[in-house]
Amino acid sequence: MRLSPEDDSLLQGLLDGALEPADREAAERLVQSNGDARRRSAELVELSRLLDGLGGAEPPADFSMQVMHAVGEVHAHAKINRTLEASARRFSLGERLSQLMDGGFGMGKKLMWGLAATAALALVVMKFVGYPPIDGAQGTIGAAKRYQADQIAPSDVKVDDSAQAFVQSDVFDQLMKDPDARQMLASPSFRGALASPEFRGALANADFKAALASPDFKAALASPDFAKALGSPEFRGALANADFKAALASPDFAKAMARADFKAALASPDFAKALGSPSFSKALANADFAKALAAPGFAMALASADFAKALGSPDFAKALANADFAKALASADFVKALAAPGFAKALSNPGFAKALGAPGFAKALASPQMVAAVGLRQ
Amino acid sequence: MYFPSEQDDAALVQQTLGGDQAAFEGLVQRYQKVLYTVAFRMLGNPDDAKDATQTAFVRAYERLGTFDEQYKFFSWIYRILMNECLNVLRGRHPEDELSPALAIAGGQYEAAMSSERRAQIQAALLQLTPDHRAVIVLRHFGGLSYDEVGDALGVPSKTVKSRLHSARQRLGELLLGWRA
Repeated sequence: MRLSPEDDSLLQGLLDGALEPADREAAERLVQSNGDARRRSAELVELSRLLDGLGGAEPPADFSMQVMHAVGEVHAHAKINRTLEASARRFSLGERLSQLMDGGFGMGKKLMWGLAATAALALVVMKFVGYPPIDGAQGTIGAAKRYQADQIAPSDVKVDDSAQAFVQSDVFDQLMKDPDARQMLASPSFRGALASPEFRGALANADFKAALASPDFKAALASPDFAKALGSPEFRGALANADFKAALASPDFAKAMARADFKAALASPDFAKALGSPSFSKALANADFAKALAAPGFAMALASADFAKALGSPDFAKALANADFAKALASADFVKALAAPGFAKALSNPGFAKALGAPGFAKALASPQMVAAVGLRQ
Repeated sequence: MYFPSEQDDAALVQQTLGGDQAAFEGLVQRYQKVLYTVAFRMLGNPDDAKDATQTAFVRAYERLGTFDEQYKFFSWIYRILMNECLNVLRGRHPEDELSPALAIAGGQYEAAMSSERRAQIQAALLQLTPDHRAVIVLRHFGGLSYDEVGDALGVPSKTVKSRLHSARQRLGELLLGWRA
């Protein structure tokens, strides 16, 4: 005799302890009086024992720690979002923003930027590319990403301790109120630049951080051209160079970067290429050359496509590697010469550029008379 | 079987919502083993189980503000976990689906047990449809009642009973030679 579905359900309920007292009594009576019911009940019990025999599985020993680490990151990310949302609301209130921008930073504005600019970069990096790529954290957050590769959830974002502290600070709140900062953060080129390992590496450099702290650098960062330059492979390459990072920290370079023509020059692929050359980086470390960069004449020269092209040439890079040449470039007269259209055009001539790279020419340039002569001829 | 205190859970939830992350750790420690077990039985390998369980906890933390305290916390987090497990299973390509043998070999826990019979049981579980596997796993390894299983899966208790019946029948056929 086969059991009816109702009787089978009753036996299953008995097994699961899910019956009301009256139903349980009915089930027990069925088992006692019906052989098929007894066999079915025994089968269900046997199956249940088999399953129970598997027992529980043990998660990894550090599982709760991993979970709490991930939760901590979510917590920090939530803070970022709340701050961004709050700042966006305030940003829409023009009067409130003006008040904050004009007086809210007060005497601490420079200091704030020193901290905020650096941390903002870290923020953007971690927000868009998952910074830092800590191996130990891959198992916690990366795991959650495995099946959601097409979307980024808050829990997918990595946040290191310093960044967490930053986003929970008033400094971050202040940063979000700054339209320049917001513009900078919104730039795809800038975000692309931040995604590079070189930029992340540069962030760890004290000189680079010092550069970020300068108001001039901040002004430069707000420029779309500069952001574009930051995004170039050449500039990223230059960031990996210690001399370049040190040069960036110099007041003269920062001063140069604050100028519109310099920023425009930075957007030139040729100039960006020049920046990326080791020789240029080394020249930048030369105080005289850095000073020359800040001179109006150099800026005018930079506005010339020919000059930018010349700067990007291997020969010019070779010349820059020569201390005498770099020193000559720093002289007022030579800078004056650089600004002349004729000289810039001459620089773009491969032969002339090659001549510049010759040790003899460089040595000659180091002579005040030669420099003066060059300048006068233009 | 697990017998969590609802009052304790509610207090920990409140403390977490009040900004005390350590309180959430209490919930993690309380439920990590049973949730991991459920995930492991559902997914068949320890890595996926770990990922799914962790994701469930993180999602629970993210959404704790939406948790309705008239329900049990563990029912709620089971639901999150089961959704995660089912998402994982749906995301697997057929060729990625673990064979029973691989699933057995891949589990450190199973290796430690080294019982052929137990390996057969796990393999049989993986042969069930996800819906049937879910009710079996929640009932037997989560220790949930029909209502709680229904809450976790978003289906009525009646459906739970029906699926349990079918799932047990299939397991019986695979493991005990029951007639179809």
